[in-house]
Amino acid sequence: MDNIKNPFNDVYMAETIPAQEFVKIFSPELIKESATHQLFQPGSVILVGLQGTGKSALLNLLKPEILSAYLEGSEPWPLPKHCSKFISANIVLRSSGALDFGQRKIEREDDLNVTGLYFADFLNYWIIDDLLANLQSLSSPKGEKLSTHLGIDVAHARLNEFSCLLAKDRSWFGALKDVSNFAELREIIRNRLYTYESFLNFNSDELPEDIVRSKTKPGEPIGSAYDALRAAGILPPDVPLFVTIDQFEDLMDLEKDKNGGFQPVFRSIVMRMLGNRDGRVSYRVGARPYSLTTGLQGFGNNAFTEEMREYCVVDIGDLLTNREAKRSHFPKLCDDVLYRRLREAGLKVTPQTRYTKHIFGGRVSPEDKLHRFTKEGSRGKAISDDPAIPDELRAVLVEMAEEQPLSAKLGEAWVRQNLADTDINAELLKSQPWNEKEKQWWKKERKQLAMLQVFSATRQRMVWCGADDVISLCANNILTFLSICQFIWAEHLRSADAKETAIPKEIKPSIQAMGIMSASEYWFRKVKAEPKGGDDRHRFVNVVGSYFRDKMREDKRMSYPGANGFSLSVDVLEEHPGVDEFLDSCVAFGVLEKARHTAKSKSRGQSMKWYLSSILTPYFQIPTAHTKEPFYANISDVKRWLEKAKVIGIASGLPSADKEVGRSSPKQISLNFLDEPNND
Amino acid sequence: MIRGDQPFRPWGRIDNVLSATPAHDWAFIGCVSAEDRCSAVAANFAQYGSIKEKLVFRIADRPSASTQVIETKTDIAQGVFTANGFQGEDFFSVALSDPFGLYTNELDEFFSNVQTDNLLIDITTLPKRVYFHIIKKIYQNPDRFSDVLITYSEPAQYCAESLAANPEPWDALPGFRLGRGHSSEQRILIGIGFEPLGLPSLSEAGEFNNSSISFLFPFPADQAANSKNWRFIRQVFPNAGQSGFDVKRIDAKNVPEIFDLICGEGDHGTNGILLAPFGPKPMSLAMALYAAKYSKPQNSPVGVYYTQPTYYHPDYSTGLKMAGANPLINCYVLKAASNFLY
Repeated sequence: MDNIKNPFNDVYMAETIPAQEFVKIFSPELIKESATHQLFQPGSVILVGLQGTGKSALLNLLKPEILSAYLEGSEPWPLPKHCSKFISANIVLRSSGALDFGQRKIEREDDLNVTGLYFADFLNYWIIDDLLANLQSLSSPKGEKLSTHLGIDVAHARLNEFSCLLAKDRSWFGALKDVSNFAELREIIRNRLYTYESFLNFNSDELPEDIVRSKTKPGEPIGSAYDALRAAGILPPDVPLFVTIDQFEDLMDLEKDKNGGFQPVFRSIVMRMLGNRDGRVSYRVGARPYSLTTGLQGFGNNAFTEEMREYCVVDIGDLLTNREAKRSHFPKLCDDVLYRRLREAGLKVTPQTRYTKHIFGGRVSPEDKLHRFTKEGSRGKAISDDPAIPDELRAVLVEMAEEQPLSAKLGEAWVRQNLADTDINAELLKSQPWNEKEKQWWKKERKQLAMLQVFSATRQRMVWCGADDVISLCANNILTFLSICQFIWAEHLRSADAKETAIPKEIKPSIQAMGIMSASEYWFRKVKAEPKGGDDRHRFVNVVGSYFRDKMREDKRMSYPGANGFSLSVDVLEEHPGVDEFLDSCVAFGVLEKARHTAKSKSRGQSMKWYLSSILTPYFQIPTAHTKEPFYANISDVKRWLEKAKVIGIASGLPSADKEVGRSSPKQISLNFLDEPNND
Repeated sequence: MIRGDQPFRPWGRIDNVLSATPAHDWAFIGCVSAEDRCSAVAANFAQYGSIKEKLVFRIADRPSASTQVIETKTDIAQGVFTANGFQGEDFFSVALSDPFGLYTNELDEFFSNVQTDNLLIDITTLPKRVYFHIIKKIYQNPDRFSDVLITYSEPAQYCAESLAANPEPWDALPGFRLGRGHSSEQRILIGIGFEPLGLPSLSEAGEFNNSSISFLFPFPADQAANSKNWRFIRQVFPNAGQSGFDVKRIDAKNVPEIFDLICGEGDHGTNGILLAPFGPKPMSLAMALYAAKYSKPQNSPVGVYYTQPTYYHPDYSTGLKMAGANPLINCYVLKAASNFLY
């Protein structure tokens, strides 16, 4: 079976393959959300998304080579026709070398604002260089079809005229004064970039005087390039100019000061480009969510506060989240991505088939899982043998557990909660009052917890299988979905069931469970290898995940079924920006999931809550679903977690754990696990 | 091996190399750290010559659980330097996260003021980005020194736990970004060490999908090191059968041989090449020599990329490996009698 290829071996395929292949595997499901259409229409947009949400794939659609591949291939352009007419330029900040500006003092005084001026100039020149390269490509025989489609005229004479017009524009401060044709324009722009490259590479001691005296303002030369393209008759009025700036969040690396605060000089330059509001150029900025909020306290420029007036924010995470009024597109996106990957692998597919359900089967209930994965004769062990439960009642529950382990475990919790004030006898217990209608929400909220405790007591691993589990483990992240598919498919190939050309139907739950566990272990390992504090986050999530697992197993009364997450008030976060930043980095790198939380108590005020990333829940053996109230944490709890995880830089700035003010609610389950012996 | 078309490039134990070097007075650049071996050259050099001018970096990592231990151990090491004639003004304290400009300013000043014609660079615990920059600076100023030596002290043992953590993103070392014109020629040489840091996540992200990868595999190595080296490769490419890469076995201390191998791969600066110095220091030194020699002011055909760790274990290494009664200090001659040997 070794020669059968796993169609999901390369999960990041979309970012590395040629344009002709990209158009075959790109799923148009994501752009069925009308908000994404804003990317292809005039007006600036900040596209926000975490790694793996499809941000890069969406921005890829703005590249001329991708548009060209759609025009020349059999795949239809996935958006309305009016969204297919644009020219574009692109910069990826890290690979361009733009981040090197933070490493070298340029003028005598070591002022970040001065460095920012040169950074803006570099950005302008880089973007113009990319625009010119795209125009040159459009003027070649290879670009003929695309230029015809766009209705632009890129004849050499027009490009030369454009160059002369551009050279005269004041925004360049005379830097292009010697330009008389397109070739000279390209050369002078490239030379400027090479001069910057040389300086930033420590190959020259200073920047030449002509650069020092002709620094351009953020975005102005790009606007004038648009004017010149229009004036030279190259660009018709209905073809906008889109400029993509990706990896916006990396600018934060340049802005940190010695005290851990931020001077958001570089981000503000990009925001100024968006804020020009002259309508000539539309910017698309690819960003991680935290980069629009972190380190901006006290920042004087209001550029960050002009959302909707100067730009709009499209958050892919939000688009794919279930709302009361609409269901998420994510399951359909998964079906379509599966279909395209399988088709690319040469397997026989039909577009109508819902492949997620076809391959993984439907929902598997907790009851079904316990029946499949616990041994008959051992299920009675699910009922605790501590003296809190009278022997007579325990005997009933043990007998019940053999046939209905989940119900029996819920029964045990019900007994523990009601024994003090209710006369419970064997007959009452056999009638299973926790299954009555008025108890349906009580029961629903505790099913996952009961399943966890039964698996734990019978010494089995908790299992995840079926399409619903696969989708919920992804938390709307298509990269996670592909990764789960990769691991399940690999397990399938190892089994005797694999056939070379057939798409498996409802892979055995046991095989799925093994694949999902491998995927979860892989994602946990991966946390460590991620940049900007991966090891710290790895240790932190290990502390928090292990704690939640142990406490949920021990919560026999099932009083806190939602304690697989924690909540902190916004006031606390504002008081301790270091904690806020660390938790945000956990969210940014897919370790935690974050949501707003309205606390029960008004005095706590607006709060945020965090859960382990869904894909990590199998590794830590805790329920994936977020039910009921999370643990109400306080800053002292977080301090203990950080100390236990040895994230000392942040923990040391927090108030001592023994201060009364730092205590979490006494009604909450205890978090004093740090007093336990350290097993590390 | 000495070939007729190449200069003799002396290297070996410091006593052997210095016995054949006529220079007596040296300027010194090194680094004080929590590792015992950082002061080996400073403590033992008197028997070979005299250190006249000094620049010793003291680099503070980001605050961590180990900060206090590291500071205490570094103070002890600094005491060894001081006991051997180093003064307070010879030390330059800087944070790992400080802009690289702070490092280069200090180096510029040292280079401007130094009177001695002979330079000794002890790379034992100097960060890569610092000694890569120094070597490049030496190539950029060919008339500055007549003799340049590079030393590297070996420890008694390395810590069995993870040596380094919290890597920064994959990026060029300051001054060694691959030129834009060469970005499509993806030939990558990765030096194998104990910690792949951020490399696995890059590999998973498809960063190397369109690249031709070669690993420089330290050989010979003892069984434990050998096993760690293979684990390094497996961590970067878990599905070895499906990933195309090449393994080049080479003596990890033989800088001339590694340098020649890299010259072959990059065709002496003709082909674009990206170097990833994750291996032992001498292997990284060979990369630094190649990158410094063949990098160009514009559109450089050589890039050096790394995922800089921001945390180092306080017991990264302990003790000194001994050769008889003396610590084992390897020495490489970069420049002799105003002639570059690489």
